[in-house]
This record gives sequence, C-alpha cells and structure tokens, in this order.
Amino acid sequence: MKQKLLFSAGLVVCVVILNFFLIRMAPGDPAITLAGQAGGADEETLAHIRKIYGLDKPIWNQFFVYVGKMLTGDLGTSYFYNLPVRDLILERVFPTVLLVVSSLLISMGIGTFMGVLAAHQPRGLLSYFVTFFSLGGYSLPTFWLGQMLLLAFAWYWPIFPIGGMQGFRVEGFLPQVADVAMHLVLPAISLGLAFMAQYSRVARASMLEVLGSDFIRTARAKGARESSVLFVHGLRNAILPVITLAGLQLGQILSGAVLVETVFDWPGLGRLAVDSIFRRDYPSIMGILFASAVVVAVINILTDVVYRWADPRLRSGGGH
Amino acid sequence: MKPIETVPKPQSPLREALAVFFGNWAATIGLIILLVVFLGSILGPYLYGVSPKETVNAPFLPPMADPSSPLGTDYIGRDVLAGILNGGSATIMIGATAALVAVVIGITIGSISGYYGGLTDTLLMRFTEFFQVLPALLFVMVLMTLFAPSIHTTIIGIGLVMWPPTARLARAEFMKLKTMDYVRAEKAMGARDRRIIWQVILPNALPPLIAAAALVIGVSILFEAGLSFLGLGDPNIRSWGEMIGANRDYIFDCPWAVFFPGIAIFLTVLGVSLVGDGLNDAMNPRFRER
Repeated sequence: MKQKLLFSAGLVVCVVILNFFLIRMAPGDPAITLAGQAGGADEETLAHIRKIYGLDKPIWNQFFVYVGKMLTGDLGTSYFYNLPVRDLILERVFPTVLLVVSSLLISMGIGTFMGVLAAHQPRGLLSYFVTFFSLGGYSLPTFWLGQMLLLAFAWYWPIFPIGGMQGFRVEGFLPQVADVAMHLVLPAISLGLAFMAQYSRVARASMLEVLGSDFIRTARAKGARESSVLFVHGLRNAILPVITLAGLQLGQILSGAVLVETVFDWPGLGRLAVDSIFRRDYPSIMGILFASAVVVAVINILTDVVYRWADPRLRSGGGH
Repeated sequence: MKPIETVPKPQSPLREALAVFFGNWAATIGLIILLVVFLGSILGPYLYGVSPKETVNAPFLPPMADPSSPLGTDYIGRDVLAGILNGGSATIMIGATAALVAVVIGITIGSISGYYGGLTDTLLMRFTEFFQVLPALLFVMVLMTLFAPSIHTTIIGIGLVMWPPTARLARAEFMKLKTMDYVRAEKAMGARDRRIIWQVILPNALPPLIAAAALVIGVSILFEAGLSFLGLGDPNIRSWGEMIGANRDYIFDCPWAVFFPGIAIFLTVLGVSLVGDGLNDAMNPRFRER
C-alpha cells in the first residue's frame, strides 16, 4: 500500500516536471507559451506572467516556483475563459470519472463473467467466441465504434440520446439520474468494449489455471453446485489478474475517454483538452495532463484497495 | 562407401517456425488480410486513378448511387474509395515507423534494465511504469500542440508512448538469458558488457520481441487514427483516421464516409494482431506443444 501511494505521488510529481520541461523545450518565449492564445497575448499579460512565474530568475528558481504552484493547485489562468484552470478542470472531472469508472465496471464485470463461463467449457462455443472477440475488440478503433453505436442506437433506432450528458428540462433527482444514465450507456460501452475483450481473455486464461487446483477439486468433491464452484470459489482468483491489468491500463482508458468524449460531446476533461488545443490554450491542456495524472493516481490506489479486498491472502497480512 | 543415415535430418528452425505459423489458420487469415491491404495500398492508387484530395463528384453521394464513385463521396464530394486506397500507405507507414521507434527505445531500456539489474533496474522500471500509466493520448496531444503537427512529430510522439510493453518484455528476456552458459562463457573470456548485450544476448532475445513488435504496430496504427480523428495529424496527409475525423460532423449525412475507413483500420489492425499472435506461437517453442 505504501509503495502504491509512493508511486502515485511520484507519478503526479513526474508529470509536473514533464510539463515544466515541455514548456521550456517548446520553440519561442515560455511566457507566450504560458499565455496561450497563439502568441496573441498583449505585453501587459506577458509581463504579468513573467513576474508570477519568475521567468527572469535562474532556471532552477523557475522550476521550484512552477512545482510549488502546481502542487498547491494553482494551475495558471486560461486566458480564453479568463478563469483559473483549476476551476475549469474541477467542473469537468466528475463527468470523466463517471465515464471511466462505469466503463471499467462494465468491462471488468462482463469481461470476467464471459471469461469464467468460457473457461468452464474450454472447447465450447463461448470459448471460441471469447478468443475471437478479444482479438476483434482489440482491433476496433474506440472512436469509430462509438460513431457506429451512435449511428445505430441514437440515429437509426433512436433509443439513446445523441450526445451530451443531460437533457434539458429534466426535473427531480431520480429522473435526472435516469437521464444521465441513458446518456452514459453508449459512451461507456464504446470505451469499455476493447477492454472487456482483453479482460475476458485474461479471465479465461487465469480461470483455466485456477480450475485445475486442489481447492476446486475439494469444492466439487464436497458436492458444491457447479455455479458456486465457478463463481464463489473460482472467480475470486480469476479476477485478480484482471484487476492488475486494469490498474496498468488506466492511462489507456483515459486516452480512450478523450476520443469517446469527443464523439459523444461528453462534457469531460478529454473534451476540454481537445477544445483547448484548438484554442492554443496551453495552461488548460497542461493542467489537464496534470489532472489526469491525479485521476490515474487516485484510481490506481483504489484498484489496490479493491485488489486487497478481493485477495484475502493480502488482507490478513496487514501490509501497511 | 556411403555412411548409413540413422539420424533423421534435423529440420531447420526457420522451416519449423513456418510450419507452425501456417498451421495456424488465424495467423494465415491475418497474413492474407495484410497482403490484400498492402496490395490495395500499393496498386490501388494506380488502378483507380481518382484523386483522394479533390472534389470529384456531388457531395453526400451514397455508395453505389453513381458507378463512378462506388463507395460514395464525403461532405465536399471527395471519393471515399480513392481515400481508402490512398490513405492506407500513410496509415501503415506512420504506424510501422512509430512502432520501430518504440521498439528501439523499449529494447534499449529493457536490455540495460534486465542485464544490469539492481538499482539501475529498479530506477528504469519505475520510469517505465510511469510512462505506462501516463495518459498517452493527452501527452502526445501536448507534444503536438507545442511542436507543430507534422508527420515527424506524430511518429516521435507515438514512439515515445508505445515503448513500455517492449521494455518489460526485453527486460524479462535479458534476465532469463543472462544466466545461460554461453553468456557466462563469453563473460569469462573477458567480453565487454556492450558486446554481451548487443551481440550475444540480443540476437537470442529477438524472436519474442519481433512477435511483440507486430502488436506494437497494431496499437500504433490505432493511435495514429485517434490523433488524426481529433484533427491533430499532419493536415496535408490523407489517412484513414483523418477521413473519419474530417467527416465527423457530417456522420448522419454521409455515414459511409466514416464507416469504410473504420473498416479498413479494423481489418489492418486485426491482420497485424493475428500475424503477431501467430509469430509469437511460431517463434516461442514453449507454445508449440499446444
């Protein structure tokens, strides 16, 4: 746990350092880069930026000023919105986390379920389907899958809304939740399918291994029902590699979220990142890279907690 | 007098690997798909001489509506089939070159990490892990905006985020191979580390790395498609991802202009992955018995 926390903190610090050097490596005056606006900033803004970032001081001094600002949550100002980048980002974190976490739950849940069933009959139809699906799902461009789902289930058969996160004029708490859920279905599936494919393959492989072990034979010998052997005794073990893999893939999932948010007009961090790029709003885009590192770090710690909860061997050991 | 042959002639490892590869129907299908994609991208533009960049017909023309544009036209009347035939070479070239960059970085870091072990290994692996969980697309987006989007920026950017899996694999191979007798013998003879890493261990570690490289090409193609879809690729190059991105806002008016390039990307990546899996099985003796 301690190691995980250290790594997560290290990740955030590394992104701050990376951002700092990227700004310096970019061609031109760093003050102009920090101002954004494609060099259209006026002299007064530039002078202000030079002063607050200490750009007239030695580089190591600038470095500490920058790191200090980032770690206290001062991510600079978006001159496009004339708002602190932090406020812009905080507004967008929830939709992205909602999208990422629901696709993670869908892909891990259904993926593991399919993998377990496939392992039950390794030569069965479902098993071949899992093998095929894992390769196919892996090769699908996420954004294109989203567009196809949009065409099929929002346009041709208008079951789900075309985009956004909320409809207009929805009153009351429960209808609002239902409304957001309806908006969430297609983006979450688009983002989750490729990962679901991989998880089903991993779960199938680890379940095949688990099914040969002694405690499964014991469970069967004492007359446990097959469903209980699979989903009570086996699943627990089969899901561990899936959790590990999901933890490693968090960055990929967030990358996918950028694309899916663009397709579905989902008001999250990815959408903001894409918009900021076309506005040359550098403080925002660097702030988003920073914020995404924080999101990855936090979910990473959460997966570790889930892993410990799923694996009793680690629970009793303490491990703090 | 002729000696009597009692021992069966050993099969060459290459022939054996080829037999395994072509005995695998999925790998063979993958290879056929790739051949079709390659032939289409090389010969297609000559056989079908319609320009992919210019307006050649009415916009929003559905497929088969006009025989001169069999797959229809996009929102400004560009021919979709011409785009598919011409966009392949850019897509594949960027994907393959970026994968090469990634594999070179990955092998360098992985081999040093696995060979030296200890603190070097710990530090390099932390570094690798950091790059693995970094949201790659956001990082490359930052690169592309700070340094003008061009084909070089795209390739370097993708290469910079795709190397961690190769590094981990190279590290594992090096850790396994460095304890082999032939490596120890080389060391006993006083060979320098550089020679052992590059000339003794690397050639033996290559087969699994080549198979993994095929998978990196697939992911790089998808990544390039994603960047171009967002409009962050080189604006002067038509690629499949760029076609999808260009027609993004007109998806309900000309779905075919989005559908067909996506199928092309899907099939290419599927072909690359199937071939990569086949190579993995063929070159890795551990999987032969299955």
